[in-house]
Amino acid sequence: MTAEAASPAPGTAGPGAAGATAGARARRTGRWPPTLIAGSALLLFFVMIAIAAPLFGNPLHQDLLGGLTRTGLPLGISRAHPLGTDTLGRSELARLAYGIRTSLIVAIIANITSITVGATVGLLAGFFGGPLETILMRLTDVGLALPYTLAALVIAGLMTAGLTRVIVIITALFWAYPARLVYGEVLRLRHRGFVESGEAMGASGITVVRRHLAPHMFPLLVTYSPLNAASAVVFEATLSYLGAGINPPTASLGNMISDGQDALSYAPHLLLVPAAAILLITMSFLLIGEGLKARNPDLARVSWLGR
Amino acid sequence: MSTSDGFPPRRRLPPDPATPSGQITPPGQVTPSGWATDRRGFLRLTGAAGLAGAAGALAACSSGSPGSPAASQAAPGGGTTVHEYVPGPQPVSGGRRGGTVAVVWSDPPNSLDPAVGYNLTAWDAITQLVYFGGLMAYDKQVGGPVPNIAAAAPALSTDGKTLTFKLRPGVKFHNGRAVVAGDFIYSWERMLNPTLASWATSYLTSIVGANAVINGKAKHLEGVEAPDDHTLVVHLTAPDFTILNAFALPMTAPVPKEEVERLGNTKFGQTPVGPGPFRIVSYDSAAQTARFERFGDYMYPGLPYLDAVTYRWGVDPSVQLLQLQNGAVDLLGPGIPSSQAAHVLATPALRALTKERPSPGNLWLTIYLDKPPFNKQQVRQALNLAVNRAAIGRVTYGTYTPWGAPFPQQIANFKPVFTPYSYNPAKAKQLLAQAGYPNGFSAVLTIGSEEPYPEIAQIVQSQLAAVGVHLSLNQVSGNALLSLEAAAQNGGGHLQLDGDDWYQVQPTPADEVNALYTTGASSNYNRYSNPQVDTLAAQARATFSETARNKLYARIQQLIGEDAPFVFLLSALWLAGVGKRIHNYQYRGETYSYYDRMWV
Repeated sequence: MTAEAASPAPGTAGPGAAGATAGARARRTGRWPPTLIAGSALLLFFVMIAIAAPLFGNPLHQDLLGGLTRTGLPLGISRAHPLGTDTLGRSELARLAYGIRTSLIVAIIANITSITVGATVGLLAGFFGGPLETILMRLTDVGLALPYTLAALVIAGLMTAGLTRVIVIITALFWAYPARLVYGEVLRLRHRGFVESGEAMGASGITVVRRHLAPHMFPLLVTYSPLNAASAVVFEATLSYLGAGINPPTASLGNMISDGQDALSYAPHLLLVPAAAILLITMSFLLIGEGLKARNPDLARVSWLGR
Repeated sequence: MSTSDGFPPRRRLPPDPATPSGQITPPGQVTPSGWATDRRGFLRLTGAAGLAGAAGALAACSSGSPGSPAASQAAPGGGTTVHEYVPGPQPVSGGRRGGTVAVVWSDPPNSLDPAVGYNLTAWDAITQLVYFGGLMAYDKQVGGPVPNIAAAAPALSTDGKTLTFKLRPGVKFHNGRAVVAGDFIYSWERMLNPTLASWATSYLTSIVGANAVINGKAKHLEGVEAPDDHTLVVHLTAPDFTILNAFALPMTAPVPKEEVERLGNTKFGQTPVGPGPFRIVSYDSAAQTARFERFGDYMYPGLPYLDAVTYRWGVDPSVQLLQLQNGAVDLLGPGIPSSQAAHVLATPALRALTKERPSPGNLWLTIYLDKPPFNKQQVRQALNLAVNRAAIGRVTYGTYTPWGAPFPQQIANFKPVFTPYSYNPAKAKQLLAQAGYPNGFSAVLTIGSEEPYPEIAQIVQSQLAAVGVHLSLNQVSGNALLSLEAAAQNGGGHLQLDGDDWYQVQPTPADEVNALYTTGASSNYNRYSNPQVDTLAAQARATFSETARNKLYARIQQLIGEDAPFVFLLSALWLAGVGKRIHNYQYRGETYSYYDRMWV
C-alpha cells in the first residue's frame, strides 16, 4: 500500500482494473472475489478454534511424568496427544488453540487501537493544518523511521509483561502508517465542495471532521486493517519470541516457537506447528485485504497478486 | 556478571569471593606449625583434611610430587612421560605431540586480560591457555591450591599474617622474559587500580594496603614486597586461607609490564601475554576467531601436547551440537546446553560425545526477605517444602540434579550435614497457616530469559499454586535482572523472588558463604543477615585446617538451611561435549578444560 494507491482520481478505476480482472468481474457481478472468500473461510476457521479453545484441553497443565518420555523428552503425536507434548509435558494442541486465541485477540485489539490513533492524527493534521499539522506529521515521520524491534524492546523494558504490553507496543509502533494514509486522503478532500460548504454553513471544525471527512476514510481503513492485523500477528510472535511479549506460561504462538526452537533436532513439530499457524493466520488476513481491495474500485489497480 | 551481547553466559562467575577484609577477626587458633614449606608437605597438609571418600584422592596427591613413580605410572599406552608433577586433574603423561583442537562458543570473550575477563569464553582462554593458575594452582580433580609458579608452599609467619613465597626459576613469559617477583607486584597493583575496573579486586582485599589502592588513595600495594627476583612476601591484615585460592586463580597471574605498556590495556585484552601453555597468535573480532599456539618454553617441560587450539564464537548452541556431531569442532566450550541434554543422553551416538564431570555450582530462587510475607521464616521454609525438585529434575536432566540445600552438592572434602528439603506439600500448607497465610498469597517471580530459568519458573509456578502460592512470572533480560538485583541489594527495587545460580571458583564452601550469605557480601542481593553466620564465617576464614573449618561451614550450612533465604532447587552437573579425536579430556568446574594435557 502506498499513499499514491490510497488517493487515485475519484470515480475512475486504475488502469490495472480495466478489462476482465477478477476484481472487475466481482464488482460487476456483485460477488465476492475468490481471495476474499478464501481468506474469510480461513480466518473463520481460526476464529472458531480460538472460541472453542477450552475444548482442546488445559494449556497450562504440566504432566512431567506422563507427558514426557522416560528420559524427559517431549512425546510425539499420539491419540492422547494429537500434536504431541511440549518440553514441559503440556498438550501442544491445547497450547496451539490458546496461542491462536492470543494472536487473534492481539490482532483485533491492536488493530483497532493503532488505526484509531493513526486516523485521528491524520484527520486532525490534514484538516486543521498549521503548526498542528507540522507537529503531528513530523511525529508521524519519526514514528515511521523508528526501528520496530529495537523500539519495541525499549518500551517492553518500561512495562510489566502481559497482553496489555503487547497491545501498547503494537499501537505505539503501528499508528504512524495509517496516520500517513489518512492525512493524504484528507488533503485530497479538504477543499472539496461538501467540506467547504459545511464550513460555510458554520459547522465547527470538529463537526466537519466527524460528519464529513471521517466517513470517507472508512473504505480506505477497512482495506488497510487486514494488512495491519497480519503485521500485528507477526509482531506479537516476534515480541514473545524475544521474551518481550506475552510471558510464559501463557500460550502464544511466539512463545511456542521460542520453546520449540530448542527442540528442533528431536521434536520438530514443536516449532513447525505454531509457525504454520502464524503463516496461515497472516495469509488469511492478507487474502481478505486483497479481496477487499479488489472490491474497491479506487484501490483495485494495486495488487500483490499482480493482475 | 553478564555479557552485554545477545547470548547470556550459562555460568556466572562470582564477581567477589570475599567480604571486605575489615570484617575478619584474627582468631587465636591459627597453628603456623601446620604449615609445611615444601610442596610434598603442603600437599600432605591439604590432604590431611581427608574426609569421607575424598581422603583417598587427596592422599594420592602427596605421592604425586616431582620424580615420584606415580607420575609416570599414570601414563597410559606408553606416550610421552612428563617427569614432573603438574597441578590439576591427572594424568598428565601419556600424550602424543601435535594436532589442533577447535573449540566453539556462544559468546565472545569479554576480555582476555586475566584481570578483566570473566565470561565463560574468557575464563577458559585465560585459565587454561594463556595463563595457568598463578603462584598456586588447584590440585587434582577436587583439591585445593598447590605450588605452581611458587616453588613451594609459602612460609607462614607465626601470627598467620605474612606469607613468603619462593618462586620457581625458569618460568618464562611468551615473549621470552623470565617471570620475577616484581611481576606479581606490578600485576596486582594493576588489577587493584580503579582505572582498570577489574571485577576481581575483592579477591586481594586481605592484603595490607589493598583497599587503599582500590579506593585510589595509593598507587603501590603496601603489603607486598620483593626482596629479590625470586622471593615474594605478602602481608595480610588478618589470617585468610582464601588468599591461597585467589593466588591459584588467573586474576592474580603475572602479566609482563613491558607488553601491557606496549599494547595498551584494550589491545592486551585481545592478545595477552602470559606464562601459560599456549600463546595467542591471532584474535579476530570480525571473524569471531582466535588462535592459540603451543608455547615451547612452557614451565612444565613436555607439555602441552597440542600444536594449537582455535576458538570460534558467536555460534548458536543447537548449531554447536551439530558441528560437534559432524566433526567440524572438537569441543563445545559452553558444554551441552540444558535444552539438548536429555536428547543427547537418550541418543547413543550423541551420548558417546559427552563426558560428565562434577561441577561445583547450584541454582535456586532468591527470596527477598525485607517485606511480608517473605520476612517470615515459616513462609520461606514452606516454599522450600512445596517444590517438587524431582519433577524439575525431569526437565533439567543431565545438566542439573535436584538438591534442596545450601551450597553445591559436591564440594571437595565437605560433608553436608543439613538434611536437604524434600517435597512435602502438606507440611508446607501447615507452615503457611502457622505463618498466618492459610489461603496462601500472590507474588512475582522474576527470571532471566536464558535457559533453564523459563522452564523451571513455569514448573515452580504450577507446583506452588497447589499450596495456594500464586506466582506471576516476569521474564526479563539477563542484564535487566542484574540491575534489579543490584537495586535490591541497595535496599530498593521491587523483587520478591528471582532465579539465580552460582558456580564456585574456589573448592571450598567459603566461596559461596563469603559471596552470598554474609552480611554485606558482594552478591548478597536479598540482604540476608544472620550474625551467627557472620561470626562463624569470619572464624572459618581464618582457620587453616580444612577439617576444622569445614566443621564450621557445616554449622553455617545448617543455619542457612533453616533460615531458608533461598528456595534451594538444583545442583549443577557438567556435561561436556567432546569430539572423538580428543584424548585425556580433563575438566574442573572452577578452571574448565585442561588443554595442556589434552591430545589428539
